[in-house]
Amino acid sequence: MRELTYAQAIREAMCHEMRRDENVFLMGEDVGVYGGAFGVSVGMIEEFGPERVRDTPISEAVIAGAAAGAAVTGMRPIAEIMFSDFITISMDQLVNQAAKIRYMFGGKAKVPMVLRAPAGSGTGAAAQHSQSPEAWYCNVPGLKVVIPSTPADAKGLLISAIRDDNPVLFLEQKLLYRTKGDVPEGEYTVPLGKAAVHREGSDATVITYGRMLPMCMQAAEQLEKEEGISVEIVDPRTLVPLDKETVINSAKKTGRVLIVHEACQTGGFGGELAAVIADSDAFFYLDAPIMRYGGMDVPIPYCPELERNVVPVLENTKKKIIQLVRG
Amino acid sequence: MAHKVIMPKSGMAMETGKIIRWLKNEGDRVEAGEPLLEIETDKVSMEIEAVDSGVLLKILAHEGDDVPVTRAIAYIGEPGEELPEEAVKEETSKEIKAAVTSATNIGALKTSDERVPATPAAKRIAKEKGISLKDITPGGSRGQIKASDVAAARAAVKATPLAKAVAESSGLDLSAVSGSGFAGKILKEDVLAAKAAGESAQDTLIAHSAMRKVIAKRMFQSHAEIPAVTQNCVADVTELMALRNRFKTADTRPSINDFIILAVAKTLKEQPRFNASYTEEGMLIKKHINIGIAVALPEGLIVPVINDADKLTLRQISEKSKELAEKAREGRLAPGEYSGGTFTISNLGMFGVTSFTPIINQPEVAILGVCAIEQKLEMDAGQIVRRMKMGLSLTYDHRCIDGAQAAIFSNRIAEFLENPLLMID
Repeated sequence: MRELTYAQAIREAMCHEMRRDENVFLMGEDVGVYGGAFGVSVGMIEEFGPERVRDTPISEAVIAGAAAGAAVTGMRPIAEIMFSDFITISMDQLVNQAAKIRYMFGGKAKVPMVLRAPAGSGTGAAAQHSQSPEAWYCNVPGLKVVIPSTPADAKGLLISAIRDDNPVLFLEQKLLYRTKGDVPEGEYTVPLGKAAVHREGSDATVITYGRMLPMCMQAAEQLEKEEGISVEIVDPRTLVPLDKETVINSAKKTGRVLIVHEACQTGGFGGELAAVIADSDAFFYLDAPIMRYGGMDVPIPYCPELERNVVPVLENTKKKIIQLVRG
Repeated sequence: MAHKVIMPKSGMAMETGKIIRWLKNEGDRVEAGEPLLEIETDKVSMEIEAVDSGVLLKILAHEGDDVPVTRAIAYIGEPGEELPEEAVKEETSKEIKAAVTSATNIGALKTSDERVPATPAAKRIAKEKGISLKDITPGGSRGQIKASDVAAARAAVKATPLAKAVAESSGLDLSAVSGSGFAGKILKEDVLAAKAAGESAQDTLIAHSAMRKVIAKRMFQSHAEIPAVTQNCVADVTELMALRNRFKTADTRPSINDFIILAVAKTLKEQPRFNASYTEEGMLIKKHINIGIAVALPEGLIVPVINDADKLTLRQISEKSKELAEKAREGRLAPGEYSGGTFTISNLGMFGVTSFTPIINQPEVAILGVCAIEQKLEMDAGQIVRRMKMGLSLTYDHRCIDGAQAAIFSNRIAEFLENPLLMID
């Protein structure tokens, strides 16, 4: 299988769907000639023209609102918000319009739109361009929330998101754009609501997603060698809908759970995952309190050293797993 | 006011003391001067007497605990007296620390209503297997019972109390015994059968006592540092034995060893380079002649010291050596009584040993091994005569003593022993 970067995989998914379905189009700030702030849509305007790869004004409210409107009228828009931090400006359109229309019209209207946006810290872009706001959207019924962690998932999940008849927030990971991985060619979909078990293990389950996945994989491999601890790694891939079954089964299997995400720990999705497990019959299999390791409850600092350390890091992740297993 | 009982500092080098057993329980009446507990330092075990009279209100440090010197280990006061806040604090902080550091300590999480903290998994498994959580030793760092602890409890040997007691008294490991009772329960008969079948089937590890650790360290250090040479010679002790037999009663009769101490003390006085320590700069000749006598104990050995042996009469040496040996065997030696030696005598003669290579007791430079007295036939003026011969094995530090010097030294000791009258001055 050939390798693609995460960014190339996303572009391949968009191109694949735009070739397949004339109703699919891309809109966003500088997605056209410039190719997007992170170069994800480079070359697309040449193939599909400015009608289908549309530059928009710098107004996130307009981007989200126009996408919702286009979707209701039969199009399948892919809207790009340059930084996921600015989805805050789109929130009214997303929360009060896109998420509610299908319900309020008794299913007579549908909103097949995808809002793509890069999330996460690590690029030196400071407090307003580095957040991981996924938990906010999970609190809005009607929105689906997808976070791909590998190039293959980026392609497969985006194609599924485009074909979904509901608004999907597709949160890309800035620091993963340049990472490479095997990506199946042609038609390739990953269903929304199906978690991936990236690594089987018996001593502890680490539930993680996004750019924390490669870090946790590394921690698991090192712990296997250094401490003989066998770690299972579960990536939910889509937070809404959530594959509770896989999460609960893994918790039952190992009896010990650590949840790692870059987003601030307080109010983060880790709390929801912990509650899903504690509410289930996996509770009776837990042999240690469920542990969370999220980002610190601080704005992302500009100072690079601080920026690196306010989010989960390898050494601490290993320590927490050891504490979980041996404590 | 409650009085603190502290871990005493007996001896300059003592940093911690291990509590062997408390001789009083909490609530017991204690009089000042009464033995309160036994402790073990890296050198000896000893009894600690109560300094104050009263009731033993609270024991802070328990059997097996290694406690830094001067740390409070108990409180003595009047019944019902409130303990000083620090005592309670000390206790709690210790408990928390112990709970964090020790895997077997229940502490921090244990609440007054005696609910046992356990993980959901541990509770479920214990319930399924019909094990009471109270019977499980928690292994969690917060004192909680984990699934693995339940598994360990399940794997724990099932035996009747009698079988357990029999196994314990005969030092038998129950896990190696197969049970013939209900559900594999071990009965007394099983233990006895296993014992009869031979306990030697399994190797056992006997943990080192504090004394054994010290012996091991000191022996190895001496053996590793000193280029030691052992020279053997023989002393004719026929006359010495005759002389000894002329002492009337066993009470006043000095032992052969006492004569040897006397002979060594005199020889050391004449040849002070054997009463010395080796240093890089030179030989440190010791002013006092303090002779150590190795005394075998069930768990090792200790070397009580007869100070200024050269200034003592035979009778004084005899009395002192008897007293020290007795104290040593009872573990009652005071630190000053087993330190400060300048030369050591190790006597294995009573075991029939004919020659050995004693190891120098650092920082001394030589040690005299005394061997068995044997009957030998000798030609004397054309007649065959019976003589009593005793072997002497002298080990010395070749860094500062040479063979000829050592020979002169041991010959002189032999000379004293062969002509005991020479020792009278």
